[in-house]
This record gives sequence, structure tokens and C-alpha cells, in this order.
Amino acid sequence: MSTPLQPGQHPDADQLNSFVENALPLHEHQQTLAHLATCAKCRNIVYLSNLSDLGEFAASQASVKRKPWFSGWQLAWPVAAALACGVIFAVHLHNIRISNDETVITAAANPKTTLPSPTPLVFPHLSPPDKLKPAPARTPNSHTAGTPSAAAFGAVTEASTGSLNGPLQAQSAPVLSLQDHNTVFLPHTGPVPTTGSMHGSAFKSTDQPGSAETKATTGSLASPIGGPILRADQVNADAVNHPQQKTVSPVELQNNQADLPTQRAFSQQYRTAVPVPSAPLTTAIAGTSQTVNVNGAMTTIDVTPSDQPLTENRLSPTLPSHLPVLSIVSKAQQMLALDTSGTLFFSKDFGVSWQSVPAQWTGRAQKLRLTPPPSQAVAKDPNSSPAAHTGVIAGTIAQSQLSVFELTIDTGAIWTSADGRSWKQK
Amino acid sequence: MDTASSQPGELTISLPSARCPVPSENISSSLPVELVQELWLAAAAESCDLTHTELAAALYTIGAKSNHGLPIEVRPNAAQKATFFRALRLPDLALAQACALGREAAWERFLILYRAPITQAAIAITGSPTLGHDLADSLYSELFGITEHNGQRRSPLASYSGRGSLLGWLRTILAQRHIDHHRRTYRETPLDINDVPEPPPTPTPHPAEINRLTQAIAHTLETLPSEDRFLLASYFLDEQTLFQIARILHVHEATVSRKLKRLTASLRKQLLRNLHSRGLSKRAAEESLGADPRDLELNIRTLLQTSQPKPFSNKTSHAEPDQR
Repeated sequence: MSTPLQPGQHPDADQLNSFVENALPLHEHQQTLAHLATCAKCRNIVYLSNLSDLGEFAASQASVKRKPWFSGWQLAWPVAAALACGVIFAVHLHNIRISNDETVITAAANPKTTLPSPTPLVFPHLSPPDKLKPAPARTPNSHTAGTPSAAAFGAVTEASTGSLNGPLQAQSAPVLSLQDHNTVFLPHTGPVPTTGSMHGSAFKSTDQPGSAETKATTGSLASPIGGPILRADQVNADAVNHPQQKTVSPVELQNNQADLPTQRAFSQQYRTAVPVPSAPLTTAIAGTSQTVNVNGAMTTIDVTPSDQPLTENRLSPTLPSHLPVLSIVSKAQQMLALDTSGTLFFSKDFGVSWQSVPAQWTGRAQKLRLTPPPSQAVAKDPNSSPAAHTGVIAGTIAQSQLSVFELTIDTGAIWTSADGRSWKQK
Repeated sequence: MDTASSQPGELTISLPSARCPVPSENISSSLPVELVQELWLAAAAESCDLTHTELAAALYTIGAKSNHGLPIEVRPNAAQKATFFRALRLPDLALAQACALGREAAWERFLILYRAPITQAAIAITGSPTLGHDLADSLYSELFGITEHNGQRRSPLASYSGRGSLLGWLRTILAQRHIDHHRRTYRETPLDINDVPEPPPTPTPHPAEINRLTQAIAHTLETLPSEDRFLLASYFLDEQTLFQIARILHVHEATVSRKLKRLTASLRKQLLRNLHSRGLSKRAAEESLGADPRDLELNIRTLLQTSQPKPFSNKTSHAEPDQR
């Protein structure tokens, strides 16, 4: 609009809109501005026009409103949380496994590790879930609650200990070192508490529920359950795979034959259902070593007289070198121990006092074991009667006293000794 | 010139529409055929069923009205004219002209493009969806050209010049109609609500200082530039925000704030100077500025609105202060 506005004239909508959109030439802009300065109506029109423009602007802004930067992470948060939980759980499991391994290694390396007393081996401490408990309608021949451990530990029972009283009071168990098995075992098998003198017929009474013998047997047999269930299972598997081992124990022959399927199932249940605490592990190891070593010969039977107290010193002897025991064997009252430095120690009083045996070999001693005499013959007939088995065990243990110590050097050479002091190369 | 205003009593000057016969010689002298063809293509006038002649007539009218964007004393040459025409929003202009001529295709396109924005703008202006829809519907009928003038259907779209956007023009039309409607309905207040006001007390004779102060303020406001007066009126009278003022003036709101601060300071200085020139000492002038505003019977709004220099007014005579 080139003509100046006269009083009473108002710029038209086109001019006002051009003014708002800054599309007017300078002279028209000034003219319009001068009119707006004095005309409230045109100012209101301009404000409203601008307001509607702002409204559309705000609507368009609302439609393209920026999302918060973290809104795109809404799906990522649960994933991240799940990942974090998974990592934490994996670390926790890893730590548990490491701690278990450390416990086992410590137990193997530290001779001062004490075995739990027989008392905590009672079943109620480690009561499995109810569903795992044996059903009351089981066959009379089946073991009571502790049958899995009974199967696992085979011939080594308190009853067998009692039945083997007399000259066989202390049978040494061979040492199972790390090189031999994946599972670390205690070098020394602790004495199993006896429940009294039991003879061959007494084994039958253990099958009767409610009897005192049953409870005692159950308690002692159940002791490994709460602890090294896996070890017990391994041993159980060994017992299944090598039935000839059971020939050593007539008790087991009688009981295990009827209970093997049940025991396997029970072991499977325990393997999955019951956690393995670290503390009772050593107990199971002791029991396991007893069973496994039955396979070796009668030397595996470590029978301790019931009147001898279970002392820490005997379970984990302290050698004069104060080094951990690497390997230890015993024969009657004689014990030979090998520490981690390869020094051999001899004890003639079942570990009370130790004497260093001078090295008569070249190289580093690594392993001790007892070897049966060549004439030894172990009855392996699983169908033998208990009385016959008792006689076999007695004969076997008697022959074990004739066995010789065998020392393995790192060079592979094997040295033997009958008394543990004088050695000659085999 | 508010050609689209329906306000009675206001001067309305109608644009020469496309129907008004424009001498073809004038058109051809102002718009060469090549330029018309170029502009016709740029405007996509074919899609609106707008012919070359109709577009050329509209362009000629717009150029003549605005002197091709030049001051009235300047005579534009052909290049300036071509530059002016090329700077127009030709598609919007062609659409508006075709709609004003009642072309069906143009109206379909117009409704597709502007139905929703018009409704949205109307709602934003009225602040109510119901009133907004009513306002938009009334605008549609008006744009279609229901009203007739001298036996001819007139559409406000014919007054669109293409200097601004068609949507902005529509918003301005909506604002105009809303204000007109508000002014009409504002007077329709029930009588029982409007109590008869108490008659104002008879004005007491003013002290000489108050009279001098009133005259000084009126004189100072008269001498302000138009932009400063617009700023004062917008900020203090209309109570617009700095952001709204800045959007209208196309400056930053901080600039508006600085201008306002500087303006109020210079106003005070000018008032002091004016009072001093009217015989008051400096101290007396400062004391008079410290007078209670309630003692001043001065209508600043009226002063600002009427301070526009009138073409036939006697500039030597001071405007009389309006009394409340």
C-alpha cells in the first residue's frame, strides 16, 4: 500500500499479514508500525494472528517434540538388568565353586584340617527333603534313611568294624593323591565310630527298622550324605562299576545287592537336591577313601579300634617338617608319611611320634602306597555268605600286615620297604 | 486499507478485482507476455483453472496498488516490476484469485490445503473449539463470496496480494472477524449486570503542577517514534510479553527488553526536560515526577492512541488531556 493511511483507515489483512511476516517494504513497514502504535484494534489483530501462528507452531512442536534421551532405553533397561543379574549369578556360582575347590585343596594340603566329629554326622543335621526320605513301605532288606551312604561306603560300616575286632584293629588306607583322582581325598581315613561289637548276625539286625543297631548304623552311614554327596555317588558308581570291590565286605554284599537301584536313585536325588557343604566334605572324603581303597586290597580297610579316641593328630598328623602331608600310609601301628617337600617320615606308634627316614633314593619321593604280598588272594565272590566273608576279611587283614611299603619317585622308580626304614629299589 | 473489513462506519476501499475491466494495453505495457508466461508457470495457475489473462490482470492490480513495492514518489521500471512480481507468492496468489473467481478445482485444492489450518487457527484465536469451528465456518461462507456488491459476488480472497503467505492472510482475516464479533457482542451485555455507575465527582480544579505534568507527558509521548510508541503500547497497555512483541517486530526478546529499558529512561529525561522548559526548576520537576500517579487524571492509553499526528490537526496546539 503506497498511499499513506488516513485517520480512521486501517491496514487491510493483507498488509497486516505482510507486516507480521516481515514482507513489507521499509516505508510500508514504518507506516504500518506507526498505525499499530496508535490502533489497539489492529494491534489485537496482529497479536491474534501471531497467537494462532504460535498455536500452530506449538502444535507442530508438540507433534515433533523431542523425546527424552533415555526414552529409547526403556527396552534396554530390563535387558541390562537381566544381564546384570546373570553376571552376578555367574560370579556367585564361580565364587562358590572356587571356595569349594579351595576348601578341598586346603583340606588336602593342610594336615591340621580336622574332621568333624562323629556327632554332627547324624542324619537329622543334614536331613534331606521329605520326598527324598525313604518311604516307610520299603522292603525289609533295604537300608533305612542312610542307605545311599551305606551303598557308597560299602563294606566300611561300624558293624563291620565291630565284627572285625581282634587283631584287625587298625587297617591303614592307602593314600589317594591328586595324581590319582580328580577328586581330592584326605590322606588319612579317620576311624569310624563303632557302635559296639557286632558280629555277622548283627548285620541282619540293621535291616530291622527301629532297632538300636539300625539307628547307629543309620547315623554313621548317613553321615556322608550331608557332606560329600557327590563323593559318595562317585564311590557308589565305583561300587556299581566294580562289583568285585564289594567282596571285601560281606555286609555290603548283603545289603547293597537289594538296594542298588534304590541307592542309585537316591544318590541321583541327592546329587540334584542337596547342596554340598564344604565342612562335611572331609568326612565324606574319609569315608570315600575307605570304600575306594577296598578295591586296592585289604590295605584299604582302615579300621580303628573303638577304644582309641579320635584325635586330630591321628587324623591329620603333624610331621616334624611342619609341611603338609602329601601321602600317608599305615600298616598296623606303623605309619609312613610323605610331606610336600618329599621327606619321608616314619611312625611306629600310629602317628604319635615321627622320625625322618633318610633318603636312600635319588629324586623326589612323590607317592606312598602299600602293596600286597604276591601270595595275597582276595575273595571276590559276591555271593559268599557273611560268615565266609568275615573269615576272608580277617585273613585279608592278617595278610595285610605282610604287605610292603612302596614309594614312587618322580623319576618313576619304585622303592619298596617292609619296615619303612630300609628301602630298596624294586 | 481494510477491504475485507465488515466493520460499519469504517472506510473501505475495494481493490480492483479480476472482474473489473482492466485495459489490456495497460496490462501488456506493465507485464510483458514472456513475464506473464513465466509467472503463470511459476504460479501453477493451470491447476487452478486460471488463465494467463486473469493472472496478468491480478498482477497488474497488485502492482499498481503497492507501486510495485516502492514508495509512491518513485516510478518503477520494468526490472523493478519484474522483481516485485517474482517475489510474490505466486502459487498462493493464483489459488486465491482462482477461488475468488469461483473455480471448482481451486476450491478443492484450497479446502485440501487450508481446511484444517483454518480450523486450528480459529480455535487458537477464540480459545474454544466451539467458537473456533463457528468462526471458521463463517469464514468459509464469506470466502466463498456469499455477499454481493453491486450485483457481483465478492470474495475477500481477491484482496490477497501474495506478499505474505495465504495461510497468514487467512489467520489475519480470522483475527479480524473475531475482533469484530467481539466488539459487536461486547455491547450486548445485559443491563442488570451493568449497574449504572456512580456519577463521577466533579473534577476539582487541577493544581498548576499537575496540569503542567499532564501536558508534558502528552507532549513527550507525541514526539516518540512510532516504534517506541508501539513498544510502550504493547508492553504497558496491551500487556504483551516480550516474546510476543519480539515475534511481531522480528527481533530478539532481549532486544525488546533493552529497548524498553532505554525507552523508559529516555522518557523520564524528556519529561524532566519538558517540565524544565515549562518553567519548573530541576528539583521541582523531579518532585513532580514523584507525584502519586493516582493524583494524575491522565489517560495514558488515550494519549498513546491519539498521539498519532493528524493530517489536518493543528500541530501547534497541544492535545487536551483526556479525563476519565
